Amino acid sequence: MAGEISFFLARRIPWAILTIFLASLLAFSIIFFAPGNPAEVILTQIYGNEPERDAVILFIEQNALDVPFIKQYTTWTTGLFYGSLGTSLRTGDPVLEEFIVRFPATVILALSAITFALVIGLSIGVLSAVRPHSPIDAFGNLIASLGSSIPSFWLGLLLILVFSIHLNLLPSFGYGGIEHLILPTIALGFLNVSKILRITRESMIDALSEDYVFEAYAKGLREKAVVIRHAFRNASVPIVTQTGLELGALLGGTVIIEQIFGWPGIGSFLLSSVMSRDYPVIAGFVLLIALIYVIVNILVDIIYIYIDPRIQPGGKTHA
Amino acid sequence: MHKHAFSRFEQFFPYDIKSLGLSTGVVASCIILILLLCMSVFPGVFATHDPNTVDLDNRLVQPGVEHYFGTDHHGRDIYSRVVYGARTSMATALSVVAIGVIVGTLLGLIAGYYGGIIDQVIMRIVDLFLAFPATILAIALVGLFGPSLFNIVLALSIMWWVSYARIIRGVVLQVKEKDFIKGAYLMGGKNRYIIRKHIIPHVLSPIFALATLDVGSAILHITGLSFLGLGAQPPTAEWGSMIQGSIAFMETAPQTMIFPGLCIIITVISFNYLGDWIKERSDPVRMEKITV
Repeated sequence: MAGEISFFLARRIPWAILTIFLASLLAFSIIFFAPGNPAEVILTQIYGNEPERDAVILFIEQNALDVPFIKQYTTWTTGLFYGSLGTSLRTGDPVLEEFIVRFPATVILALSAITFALVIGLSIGVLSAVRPHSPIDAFGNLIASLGSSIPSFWLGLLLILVFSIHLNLLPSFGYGGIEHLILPTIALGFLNVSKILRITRESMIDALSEDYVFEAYAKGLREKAVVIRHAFRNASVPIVTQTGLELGALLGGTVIIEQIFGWPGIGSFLLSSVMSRDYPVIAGFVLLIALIYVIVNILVDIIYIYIDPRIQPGGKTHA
Repeated sequence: MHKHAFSRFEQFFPYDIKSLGLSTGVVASCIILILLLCMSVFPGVFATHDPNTVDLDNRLVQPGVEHYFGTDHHGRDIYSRVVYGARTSMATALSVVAIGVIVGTLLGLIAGYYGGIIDQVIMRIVDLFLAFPATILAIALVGLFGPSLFNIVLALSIMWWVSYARIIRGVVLQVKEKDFIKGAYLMGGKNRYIIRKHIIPHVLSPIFALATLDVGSAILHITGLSFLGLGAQPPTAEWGSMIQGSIAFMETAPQTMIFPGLCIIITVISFNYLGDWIKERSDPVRMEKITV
């Protein structure tokens, strides 16, 4: 097992590094090709009014903004190795620091949403597969089609309208205790409930039609044991893959929900940086999110090897 | 058998009407989508008011006979704005999917058919795009170009082709090994002839099913980005930005938020139903494998 994993990593990590390298090129292009003169943008941010022409020229020379793309890119990437991603034009704080301060909030929200999705999606999915065309299957179907068609921002607002404004049960805004987490979790996780439910139902139906399930029944095992120990174990591989992909996407995709619920994560900060054209933050955050995404995907593939020993790790270069 | 034993129509539609398995849901989806299409082509016929006329005497009116869905905080008729919003959503979502399908299919065909270095290069680019969460890339690109509906379409199109390229490449790799392709090659068929006559007909049905399923997801992305203020700018009638404008009045006038949202849901569900149906009808076994 350990050998398989190092073999797998040896194949995957070069690709991951190449991807990150290309991502960094893309991220830096955002700074470099951004419309407007960056020196003017920065000086306007610092002094609050239109800068003098001499000040702009001086700033360009001091910060070496007139050198070619390759040189600037090299300087920026060298900075990465020292843990520097530049400073925010808006707050004046290092980009990396801004990211680290806000990342835990996003992780909490993403993990909470994926847990919610797993609990609901797995249980309804398994029950639907065990009793196809039953009322619970019909209910699961309804949840699945609603989940993939309700816009998360609309669901979020609806939840606020019902539970915060009318029933006054839960807070609609802010960050803190468990009660702040409930509404954003439901709004964010509903789409994932639908995805996990679908894939669970599909792979459970496949697994339940296999010969070993009939055999297990023939041995006299009770239904619960057959479903959980035999069918579910074999059906879990696609579910884990799906969950991993969802988690990766959630870590970068909580922007809308963070915005609605005033959740202080990386998404809402990225959005306000886009609005005020804070290019170093946009570039740095894009790069860091790509990095996290790549790492999560590699971890998912490693878990994949553990739960399904039939998979040849060398056979797949990328997921 | 004569070369033209099947008509063009039968070639692409080799089903008996009764065997189509049309459920109520599918028929309803089709009717809704046709209605939406009519609305987006001739919004003037359906709308009862001008979507952008401000009427400050009739602000936040409840739904009724004069204003079917009520009015918003500028006194604009919500029903008429929803009708005009259909045009915006349909036009943008269909453009994104169309661009994605054309670029993705072309690159997928090239990668799958020619293989080798070209395949490697195209697939590495695909990997790069897959390494980004879609929303973040769109937001970053809008950050670069500035917020507008056109830039949203541009940003989404840039990443939308990826999934098609990957799937089409997979289908081409399967089809390429079939004997009839080898036969066509041995007969002296040129590559372009083989692609046009033998490969493209095979990739058409999966493309069509995926594209239909994707329109719904494109609508969700576009309305979401417009909701964040990155897409449609006021006073354009667009479902996402209508919902954003409603936040402050949600408590007293929930109609400003409810109706545009319901429209998004109904539209997306209809596209999903139709897409699922096309997927099931067009070679179930293979579709199962390539769309998971």
